[in-house]
Amino acid sequence: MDTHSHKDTLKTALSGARRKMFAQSATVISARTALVALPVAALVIAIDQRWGGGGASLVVGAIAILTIIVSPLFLGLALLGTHFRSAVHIDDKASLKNRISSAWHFLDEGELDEPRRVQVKDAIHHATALNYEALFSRGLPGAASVLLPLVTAAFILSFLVPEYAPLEEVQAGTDLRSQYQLGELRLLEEAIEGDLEGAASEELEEVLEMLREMEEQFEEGEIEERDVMIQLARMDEEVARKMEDMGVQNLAGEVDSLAAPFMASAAGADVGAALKEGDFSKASQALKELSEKMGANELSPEEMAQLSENLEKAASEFEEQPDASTFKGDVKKAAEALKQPDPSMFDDAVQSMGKKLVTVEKLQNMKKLRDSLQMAKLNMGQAPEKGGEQGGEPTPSGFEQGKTEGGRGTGNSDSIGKGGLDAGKGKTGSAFGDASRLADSYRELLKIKGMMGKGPTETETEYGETEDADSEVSTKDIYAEYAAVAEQAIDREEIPLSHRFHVKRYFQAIKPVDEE
Amino acid sequence: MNDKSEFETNAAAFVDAFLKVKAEIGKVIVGQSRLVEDVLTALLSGGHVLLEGVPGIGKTLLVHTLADTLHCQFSRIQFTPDLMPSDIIGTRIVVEDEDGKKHFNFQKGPVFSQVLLADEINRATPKTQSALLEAMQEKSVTVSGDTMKLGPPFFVIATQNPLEMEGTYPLPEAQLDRFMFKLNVEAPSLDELVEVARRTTKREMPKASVALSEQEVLALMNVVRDVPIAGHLEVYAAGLIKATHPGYETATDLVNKYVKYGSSPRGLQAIILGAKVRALLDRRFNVAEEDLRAVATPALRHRLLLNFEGEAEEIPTDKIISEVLESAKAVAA
Repeated sequence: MDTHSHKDTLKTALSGARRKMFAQSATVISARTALVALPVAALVIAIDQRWGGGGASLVVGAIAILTIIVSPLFLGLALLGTHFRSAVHIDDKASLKNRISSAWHFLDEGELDEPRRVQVKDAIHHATALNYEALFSRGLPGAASVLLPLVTAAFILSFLVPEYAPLEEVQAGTDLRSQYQLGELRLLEEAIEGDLEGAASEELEEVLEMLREMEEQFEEGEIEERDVMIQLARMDEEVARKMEDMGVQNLAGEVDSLAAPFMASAAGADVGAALKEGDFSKASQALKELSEKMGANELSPEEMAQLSENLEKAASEFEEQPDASTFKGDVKKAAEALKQPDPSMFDDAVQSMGKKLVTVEKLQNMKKLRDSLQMAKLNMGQAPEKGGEQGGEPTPSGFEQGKTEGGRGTGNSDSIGKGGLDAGKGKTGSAFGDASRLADSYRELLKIKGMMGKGPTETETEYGETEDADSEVSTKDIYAEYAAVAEQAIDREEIPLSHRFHVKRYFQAIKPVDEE
Repeated sequence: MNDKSEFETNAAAFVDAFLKVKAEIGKVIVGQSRLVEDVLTALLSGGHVLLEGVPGIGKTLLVHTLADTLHCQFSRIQFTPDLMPSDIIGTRIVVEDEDGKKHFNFQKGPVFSQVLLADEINRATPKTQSALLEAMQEKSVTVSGDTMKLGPPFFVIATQNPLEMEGTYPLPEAQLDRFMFKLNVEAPSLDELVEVARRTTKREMPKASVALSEQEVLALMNVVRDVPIAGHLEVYAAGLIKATHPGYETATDLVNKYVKYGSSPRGLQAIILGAKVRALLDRRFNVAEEDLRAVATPALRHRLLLNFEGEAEEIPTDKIISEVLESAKAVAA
């Protein structure tokens, strides 16, 4: 056997071994790559699924799988190296004591002398007798067989990570007080929006815009309750300043006096009714129609005389004020024009009154806005610290009460019967407010300066003698009503019997003496 | 039909002969199996051996026994401080022939033998020790311009006591380098001592028989040199030698700190020849990395010259070699 045939034989034996070696090293590299790539990919995919919308997940997964497939091919081939390198590896693995590598080396040198030929034959004998299958088994190394299924499962599960859905109201969702206050702000906005539908107003729009911005900041937690209170107070002050700047506060007081003479005359009944309703636009329109009737000689002399007489009487009741802040001049002028009769003069007087009525309407809106702001401030300050103690979450219903139920009777000595928005307008409301509302069940009568809430507050409680109080309603007149409301509240709410007893006992205790 | 080649037959005969000699020595020497193997390895590799050990542990007896197993001319020189080189090599003396004429005649010294025991070599002065330099390297002796070959296999076994003992002279570096192996003779274990007592306190002392003739020894020496070694293993062995040189890139920390001079090329020759013997004994036809590592320590321990710091701290060269072997990279693929 010559050198070439020896080499071919040894090469054949080595080739089989090299295939097994490659398979083994590729398996090991693949397992190791998977142990690193799969957890990393799983993490990236989970993050992408959670916060990234999952758009990149498939790409990341594909890269990880490609890495696991491709890297063993390249690294396995690189590790395999030359036949000589494989021979050294086999020698080492099978404890052949450099037999095969030495033989390969001798064969590479060329012609073999006798000792080398003997050595090569010995090496070939050993190389062909080896069990390469057992020598290069493809079993996974150590803990890889345990970890691999785990990381594979993690990789697959990472695709199932649900997308992150942020809570709409982070603050309110966790803090009942904030939730309540946020509700108050929204109701305030709704109230102003309702007012804006009735009559456009720059002031209302401006305040509404500021409110919306503030509500958003409060909801996001960018500002605190104290900041909201300060801003509400500033808005209130700003509206008050604008009202003062208008300088027509007296007009509002004269409107009731103005309604009477028109009501008392047949020609001006429509105007009087509109003024009485507080619908100043309608009243202005009715005045315009009255002027047109006079211009068209549709008013009888008796009607004109009656209206003129009534208007003269009313004018005498008005105080002396600058022209811009009183109806006196216009009323006198209208009476004079009816007496003459002078349609042109009457028209001038009526137009002037119409303009002032529009101003009054604006003033009323601003006043209503102030009431709303103050009420919102008050309700926010009295928001419950903990909700659900009465079997349900507190509802910010203060504005609705004020609007629809006639207020909740928070008026102090200056404003009896007024409370909430449109205080005093309600026809069927109860002075108790909403009995289901915890905040309504106890309320101190406070005149508050500054603001309530977390910030520094200054409160001043006004105490007075009973006879000095501004209340003009006797206890016995309202006792029955209050007791009835309390009864209804007790029946409506799930209140323990023992507590019901205390409420009933309380009303029995305060029952006016002359009732017995 | 025996299809074995001559080399295979010789290799098998080598192992048989080796084991036969070892068995004969084992009749006299108790234990010391590795020591006996290393001595025989050096003999069959054509090298010389320096045995070091405290007095009375069988160094001289080992050499005597070895000489008994070989049918070779044996002589012994007891080195003493007053021993002169001429006492070793020989001297010219005036002799008178039959005609009455006087002339100088060379009287051969004990060096003219095939197996030479230089007992307690470090008790002689360095000048006398150096008398063996040419004999050990060239296997010849030159006297007054006449060079005389020594009979093969010229095998020197020197014994020495540890240097710290009184009345000893350290061997010159050049002399040390001539020894293939320096072997440390360890004291026998308890069991070995008991066996020694048994064997040596009887009426009849055990005696080794002749196992190899001079020609057989020479033939076995040739078999050793026929064993092939692959190039990458030669590079590995050379790397071991270079790693003992301070400042070399593969030199270890201990080498750099404590070694003044590393091994000479004779160290490489000793390692490879010793490895070849071990390969044959393992019934292999090639030298392996582990063969080289196995003989590295006895082949190099006397070839590392320590610096002052190493001497002062009494760093054992075996420790340095062990570190070199540990740090040596595996055979490069």
